[in-house]
Amino acid sequence: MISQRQHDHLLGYLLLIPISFIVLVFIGYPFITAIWFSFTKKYVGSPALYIGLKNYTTLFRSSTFWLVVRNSFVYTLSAIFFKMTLGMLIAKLLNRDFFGKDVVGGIFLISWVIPMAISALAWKWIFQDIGGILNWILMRLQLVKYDVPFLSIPKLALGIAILVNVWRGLPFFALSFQGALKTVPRDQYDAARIAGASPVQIFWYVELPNIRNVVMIVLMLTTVWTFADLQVIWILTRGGPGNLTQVFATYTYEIAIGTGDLGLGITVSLVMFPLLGVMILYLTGIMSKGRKEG
Amino acid sequence: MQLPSNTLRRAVGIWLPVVVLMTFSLFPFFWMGLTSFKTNAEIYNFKNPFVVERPTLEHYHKLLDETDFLMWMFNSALVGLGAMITSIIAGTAAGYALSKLRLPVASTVGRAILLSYLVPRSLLFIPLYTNLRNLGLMNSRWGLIFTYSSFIAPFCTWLLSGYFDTIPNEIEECAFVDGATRLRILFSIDIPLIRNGMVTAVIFAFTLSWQEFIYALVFIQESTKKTIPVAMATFMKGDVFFWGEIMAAGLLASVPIAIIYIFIHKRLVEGLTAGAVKG
Repeated sequence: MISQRQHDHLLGYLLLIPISFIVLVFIGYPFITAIWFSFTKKYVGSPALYIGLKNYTTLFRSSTFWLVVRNSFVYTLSAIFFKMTLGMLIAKLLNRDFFGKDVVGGIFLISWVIPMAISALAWKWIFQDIGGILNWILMRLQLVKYDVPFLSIPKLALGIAILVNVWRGLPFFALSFQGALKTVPRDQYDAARIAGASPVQIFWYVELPNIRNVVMIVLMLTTVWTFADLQVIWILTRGGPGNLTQVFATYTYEIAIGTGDLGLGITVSLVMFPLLGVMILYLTGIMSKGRKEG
Repeated sequence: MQLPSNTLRRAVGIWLPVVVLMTFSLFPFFWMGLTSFKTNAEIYNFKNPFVVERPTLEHYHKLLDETDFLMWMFNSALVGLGAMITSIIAGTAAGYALSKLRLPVASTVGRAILLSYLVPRSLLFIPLYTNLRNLGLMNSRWGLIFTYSSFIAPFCTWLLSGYFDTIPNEIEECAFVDGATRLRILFSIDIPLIRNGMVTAVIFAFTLSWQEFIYALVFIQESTKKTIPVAMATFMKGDVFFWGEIMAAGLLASVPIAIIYIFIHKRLVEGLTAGAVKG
């Protein structure tokens, strides 16, 4: 006779088998393989040839790689900044009492539910030079004289990608913040108002400390998702013009699938990993520091 | 006077931002729908783009008759269903184990699962590409189902363990006293108790799968096996995008999602905000 506790543990381990299998086979094992590949020259169908750190040195010597690093940081940090600030503002807006606020909230969430590929294509169409509605509007307002190929303009292309990313991600932020803001205790608000605090002070000293956990988690998730994102940029520009919107994910894809050099391609992603960790630590560190002051 | 200025403040402080927000949020879809009903001539050459002079269904006909569009929808649904089922099964089992069975390894396993969720697909797609090739699972929707569970199941585990946590232990103790086994408790008591949470998990699982792009792009090349997002993004000949057809496809693919969304919207909001409050 085994004890109830032993029985529970045995059952527990059994129940953990499916998820463990999935995680080990489709995440753990590929991750190890990825690290191995980065030290090899590997093309599809041929065996991997060990070449030590050659992939890494090739990358670090490549100016395109450093452009990719720069683009990824600019893309991610900008998108995060806008999603956090606008998300917070929208959350506060939607928490206010007004007629039809549930409908408004519901409609707003649509852009998050519709597959990103569809939205990205819709935006790409808006920014098209031939037939794009933005060009028509700008020409009508006489701000431009001829069709502008926005997505091919060096400075603008990345900005547009950021715009689309923010547009798509805002509902998630707004909704998460909405829920979190609702948990702030009423009496803290009242105390602050009696003390004569301004809205900004209320936000900084009452709301933010209370929703800190949610903000941290949302921040972490979005950093990972945005930094490693392929969809938006690949659909909008494929990384162009001339690699000016190339980020880690798209660059990895282009090297691995475009040129077939899997070894080099995976190295790009692996270099992204520690950078991602650094960025998360930095951003969540800022959040912690803000709390200490509050 | 008090009243008019208050109304003005509300108008500017609330309604103006709301209108701007709604416009910004919905415009792409509005424009997508409008474009899909225009003839090619009107798409590229218009006097007033917001007026459709000769509405047409030609893009929809082309889409349904000359492309694999229906297959793409079917594929997305099939993969979504498969990934959802495997993820819910794995997630429910693991969620229950981690929440209720007081395993000594619970917190470590929980953390490992969360960490695995953070490994990006843009890194894993390369080794998975070779693995699937070696297993003969290239161009296979099964390949997608399995790889999708790798990021959906951990999420479901996290979500469902949270829901299981809300069930008081006393309920299980009582059932024990009555002679029930753990599994019996799980199926007859716990799962029905959190069925709202399970519905939320199902919705998220399906949504995550429907949206996935990079695995679908890399693992499937055959048009008849493609999923909607990839098929639409690669719908072109050479350099030319068939915008009319693409917009029509976008609208057709969005409609079922939008309809389902109207029904599940409350659950989705609960799920997202509950996740937020859980922290």
